Amino acid sequence: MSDLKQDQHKFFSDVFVDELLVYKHENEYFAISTFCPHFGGPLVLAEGKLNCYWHDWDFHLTEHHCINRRIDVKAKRYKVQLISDNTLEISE
Amino acid sequence: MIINFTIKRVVNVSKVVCLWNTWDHEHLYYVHRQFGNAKMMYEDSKVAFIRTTVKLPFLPIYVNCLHTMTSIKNDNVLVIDALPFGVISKLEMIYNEIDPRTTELVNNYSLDVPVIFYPFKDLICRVITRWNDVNWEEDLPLKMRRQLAIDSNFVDFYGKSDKAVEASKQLKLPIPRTKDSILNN
Repeated sequence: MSDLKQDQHKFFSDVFVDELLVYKHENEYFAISTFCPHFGGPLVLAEGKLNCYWHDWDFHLTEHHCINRRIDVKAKRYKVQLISDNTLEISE
Repeated sequence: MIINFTIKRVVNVSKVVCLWNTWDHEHLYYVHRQFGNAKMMYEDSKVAFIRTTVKLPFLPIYVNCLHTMTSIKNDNVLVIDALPFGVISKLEMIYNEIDPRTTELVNNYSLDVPVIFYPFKDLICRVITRWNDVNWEEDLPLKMRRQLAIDSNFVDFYGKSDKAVEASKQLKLPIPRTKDSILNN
């Protein structure tokens, strides 16, 4: 949680064999895979959206579907539970 | 007058990742600042014919350029570029697998330049080498990331999946695009 001071934190999880982006949006925590479902590029949170610069794919901040291409794909989302003031539990 | 020179590099990713990066034409527009527009004229599993605008090093303008890419083997790619200013170039890109995580790339350039340009041979080679350097530096993070994705059981157009199988780590050409891809418009 201390790493979430800037409302987002990225790390590689050996547990999930995945790189996760944890962020807070409108008082809700989200955890997603940073691998863009297109070709695996890096999803970053910037300017109010999730974007992959490889091919400029944007994803919805809370629903995680692609919002600028005519394709039905979603960024992989993990479950996040606020355990205490300084602990988040992330699960599949 | 033919000018020949070679650029060799070694990168710590698989040969499939290197080939994927070369054949992912769509990223030219989004990743490489020296490319302007990019439009696919024709593509199949062996050939890609692309029209782009490019900005050559040391020049402040974008110029039209046609690229014809032809795979000559499953594990090699031949790229023929028709560059502007009447300089016709052939670039043979050879991908040598050193081990499953290491690939040597050999770029053999052959430039057919008019005789009047021959005194500028060194400058032409510098421009092409600089072009190659910039593209390489911009592509390297993509290659490393793509390798990480594959190693993390990634499936294209889906994401990380337990369904990832060995077959999904192979390269199938042409690389699929959405209907509203910039290359189609």
